[in-house]
Amino acid sequence: MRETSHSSKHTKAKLRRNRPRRKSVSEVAAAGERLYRRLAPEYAGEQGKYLAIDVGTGKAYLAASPQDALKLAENVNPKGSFHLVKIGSDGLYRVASYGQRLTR
Amino acid sequence: MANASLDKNSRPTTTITVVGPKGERNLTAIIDTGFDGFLSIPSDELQKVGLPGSITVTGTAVLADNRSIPVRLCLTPVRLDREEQVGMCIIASPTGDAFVGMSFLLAFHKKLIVDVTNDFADLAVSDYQSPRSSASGY
Repeated sequence: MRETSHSSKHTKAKLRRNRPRRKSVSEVAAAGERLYRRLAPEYAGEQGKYLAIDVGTGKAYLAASPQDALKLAENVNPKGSFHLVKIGSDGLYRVASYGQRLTR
Repeated sequence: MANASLDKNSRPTTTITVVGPKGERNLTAIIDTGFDGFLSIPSDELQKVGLPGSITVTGTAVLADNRSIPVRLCLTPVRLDREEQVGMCIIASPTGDAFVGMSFLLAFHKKLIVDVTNDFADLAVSDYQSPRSSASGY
């Protein structure tokens, strides 16, 4: 009995170790920005539109709003990690007045 | 009836209802004209309604000093009065204030009226339909 419980605990621990580690927000964003730098020339004529970049596959989904771009990407890969960019802008959003609240 | 008011620091605020898989929550949100996004809500408040889901969505926010920081985002349904819109929400640090940005006003077709002298603020219906309304980026 004890052996079974020990073995089950051992198996669970092994499964946890083998499970791919979930990327942090910084890692997803950094990977997304790297991919966007590569994709940017292809979308140069789409200023002001939005891309949802699947950081796992490298595929990008273009739409007029960030939520529409995300929905397109999620439909293809419901378990993906995505980075959103506004084409031609330094960032997705400008947070000019109360920006400090975003930093942890 | 005015659906906005000024807080003790004379910042315009409005009451929104955040809708998630685990329920709804009324929040007072500061109307931030320096924020071009839709919504920013502390993570603790989002968790109470079951947001975000399991996927990771990120973006980059550019601060006033031009620093760029990565932020986590989630699609969030929000009600203002009886109207509901879905937009991207920045998941902010756990405690703090909720904010609505200019994309929020665009989504709900509102204009912000502020009269600090008379301690009055309102989110009135925008009577001007600009071409931007049809290509909104909230």
